[in-house]
Amino acid sequence: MYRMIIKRLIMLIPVLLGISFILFTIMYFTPGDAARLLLGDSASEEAVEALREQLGLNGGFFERYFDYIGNIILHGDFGISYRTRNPVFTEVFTRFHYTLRLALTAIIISSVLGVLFGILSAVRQYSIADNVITAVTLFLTSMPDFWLGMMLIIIFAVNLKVLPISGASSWECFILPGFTAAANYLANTIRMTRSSMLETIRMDYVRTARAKGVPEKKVIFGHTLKNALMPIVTLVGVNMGWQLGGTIIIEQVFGIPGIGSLMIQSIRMKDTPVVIGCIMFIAFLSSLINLATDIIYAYIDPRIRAQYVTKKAVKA
Amino acid sequence: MMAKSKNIAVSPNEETHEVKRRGQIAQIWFRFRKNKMAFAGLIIFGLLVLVAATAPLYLNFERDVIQQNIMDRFQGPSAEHIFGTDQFGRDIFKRVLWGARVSMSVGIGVVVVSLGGGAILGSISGYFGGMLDNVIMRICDMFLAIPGTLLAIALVSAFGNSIPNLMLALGISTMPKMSRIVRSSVLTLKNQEFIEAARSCGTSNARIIIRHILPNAIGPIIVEGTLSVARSIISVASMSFIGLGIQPPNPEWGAMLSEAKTQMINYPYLVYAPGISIVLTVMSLTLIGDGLRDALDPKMKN
Amino acid sequence: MANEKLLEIKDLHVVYHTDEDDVYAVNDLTLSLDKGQTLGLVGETGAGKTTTCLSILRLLPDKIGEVTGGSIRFNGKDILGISEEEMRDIRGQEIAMIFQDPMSSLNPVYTVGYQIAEALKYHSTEYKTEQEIEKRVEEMLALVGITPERKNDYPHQFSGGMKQRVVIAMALACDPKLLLADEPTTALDVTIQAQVLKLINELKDKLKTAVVLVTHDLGIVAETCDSVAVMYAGTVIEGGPIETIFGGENHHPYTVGLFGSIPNLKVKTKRLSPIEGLMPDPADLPKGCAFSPRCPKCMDICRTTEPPKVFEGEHMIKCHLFNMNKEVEA
Repeated sequence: MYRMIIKRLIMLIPVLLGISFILFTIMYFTPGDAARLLLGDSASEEAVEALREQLGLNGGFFERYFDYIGNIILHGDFGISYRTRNPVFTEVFTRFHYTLRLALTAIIISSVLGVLFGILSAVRQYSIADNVITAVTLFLTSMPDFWLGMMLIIIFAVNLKVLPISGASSWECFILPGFTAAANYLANTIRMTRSSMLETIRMDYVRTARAKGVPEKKVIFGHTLKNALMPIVTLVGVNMGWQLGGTIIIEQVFGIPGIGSLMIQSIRMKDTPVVIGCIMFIAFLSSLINLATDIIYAYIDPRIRAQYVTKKAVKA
Repeated sequence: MMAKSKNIAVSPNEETHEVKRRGQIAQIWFRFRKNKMAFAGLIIFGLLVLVAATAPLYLNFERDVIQQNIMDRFQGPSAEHIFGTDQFGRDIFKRVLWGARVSMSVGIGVVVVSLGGGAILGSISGYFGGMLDNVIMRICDMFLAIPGTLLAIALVSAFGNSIPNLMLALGISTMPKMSRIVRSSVLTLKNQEFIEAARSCGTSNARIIIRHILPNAIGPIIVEGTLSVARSIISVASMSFIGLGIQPPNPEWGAMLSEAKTQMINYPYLVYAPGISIVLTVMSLTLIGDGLRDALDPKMKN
Repeated sequence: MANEKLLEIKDLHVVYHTDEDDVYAVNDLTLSLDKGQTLGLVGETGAGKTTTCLSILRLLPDKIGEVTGGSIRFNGKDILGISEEEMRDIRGQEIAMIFQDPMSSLNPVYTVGYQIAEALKYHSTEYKTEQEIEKRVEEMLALVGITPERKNDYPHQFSGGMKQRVVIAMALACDPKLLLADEPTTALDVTIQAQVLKLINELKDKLKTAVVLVTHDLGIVAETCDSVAVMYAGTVIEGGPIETIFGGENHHPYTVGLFGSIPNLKVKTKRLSPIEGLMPDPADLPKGCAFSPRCPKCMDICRTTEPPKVFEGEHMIKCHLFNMNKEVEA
């Protein structure tokens, strides 16, 4: 098991290097000059040139890239923001907790409701409840999240005045953005749970359980759900990863100063170290979450557990 | 008498088998027709395309869509302006109609780019295998490790704001996924006998891919393409919403919502029409895509 | 008769509603079984044997399978009329079932011990506390020849034959009055088949359980059953005590065909004589006798009129052939 974890962590390194290279390339060849953007149009050519020199923007492509990567590998230094001159690390961490809070709210809402409605939909296949849930699911997947956010603001903040319009100052602020961010994933989770449950419910062992006279509740939540959980856990894991990177636009709608807002600012100002830092950080977290998902599998399914554990350990 | 009865004992169902043997496309169409939701989606989408295509016949871009009439600003929905007017006094209904043109053509453009690139990369990767496959797929993996919205934003800001650049940027950001789908289709086809047969006749690789493999892999690609248009319309709208996509005054639905954002607390009606248009378009495409998938592979349906 | 009737099925009809057609899986089926006896249910794949068993447990697939007529009485109780709760008490406790494929009939995420204990947990009045249940689980495992220590293992750690033993232990844990064994040996190797059959036989004698043994293997029937019902296209076309089927003068042409398609070591035959043709499509049954399109002795009447049940004592044949003979005699 440990071996698997370590192997997966090592495999992360080339992926992260690749991502940094791709992003660096994109940012390098993007039109626009960070120094000019920082100082504004009125600044003199000399001042801009001085700033370029100071920020190290004058090097060639490979020189700058290897400089950047070298610093990360040798000193764990992700550089400083061109815009604020703070270390990228600080920039990311002062913003990250907002995004994390939003993502967690969304993932909890989408997973809990998604699994519950998915089960309901599967158990009562073709009933009115199933049809309503399927229709709502279709509606949720067809909606741009920012529009849903705007509609929720209009309904709950403007008309009913029960929740704040924007900001991140209290937990109430995260309810509407949380639901907004959850919508798409909620729909996916419902669909996945429904189809996984429907597939499992037809298995012979579910019939065996019924033939034993096991109460229907136990048949559904025990025998079926425990087996149907695998793809659902994967989906929640994947959702979680995407959630962290997918809240950018929602942060814009609700004025939450999270990583998404930081990234958009940084992209506009050509603040390359911050952009790459943010994306690498999120990609790293998503990969960790995927790894965690695989470990959770092993706890659900004894067959997978058996692959990781050696024979001796079983007997001990 | 005994001999006679033995003759009857062949298969009693020969006639029904004959009836069931329809053409493949006719069969897919038949299954698609039976799916009420998918068919409804097709009708809705057809109407939307009709509206978008004929917009220049009944609307003048300059006069009806762009021109500002400050006198008429912020008029709520009425008989004259059924969705009201925006902060520049433009009729929202007319803008939404024209917006169908923009949103759909850009959405389709994105998919053309990503499907074109994906088909080339995927079929090369799947057909030739080996090193080439490895390199292409590892690059795709790296792109796929970057959350989609982030990649799209980075690429869009790199390519700049014009419509062709937007299509290119969003197309590239979905290309890795498309390549994978094409590749897996190609892989399953590659070793089938009719490909072997074509190869043994000395057909060139390019010809085998274009004439034999892609037409047979077309089913899942069309399904993915349809669903991808739906997703692209949302991405385009999202980019426009944060100011990186199509710029006002062009009436793309996301751009309209972006303009409405600052006014929505006082004039919420600004938000309804463009959003519902997006939902309707995306929903109809999703229904068509799902319906096609079920029609192409009835076993997949639960 | 000293024997009491345990199971009585009368004129049972079962239909499966699929997207395209209505499939008539069981048509006018009548069966009965005495306490402690074994009934062999024989027929080709698709004859409706499994459907019959599932109807007895009321486990037909939800919304697809439907009993459209007839009655099933178990121990004097009308099974089709009772509530779902009452039915649940019967399942596992009074009627247990062994399914065809042991590979898929155990839940991969629970230990075998848990799965055996489950039936006890919900029903048993005899084994209530956790220790009693545990003891019973170990007892059952020992009974089917598995070391009790293995109760904490998962199904994937067992071979096919061992899994079927677990399934049998599970089915018998509550001492059911009736065991429905749906082709319990089909999925197993020949040597394991014999072991499993022997086991069922021994347990049947020991526990006085009545058994419905579904099979298409006439050899198994001859060895284990007290009576036989031959099924074709959802109905019993010949039935009666074992002697009347394996001995006796008159047989349904289908039964004759079934015997003809078994290799016999004692008689020298040049080739086996399979029954020609296929089972009719249950969505589109032929008029008259369902077997008529394949029957070597088919007469005009067979294609138009459903054959009557002709009795010779307890031996029943559903065929025009013998009906006509009787009329001639009379």
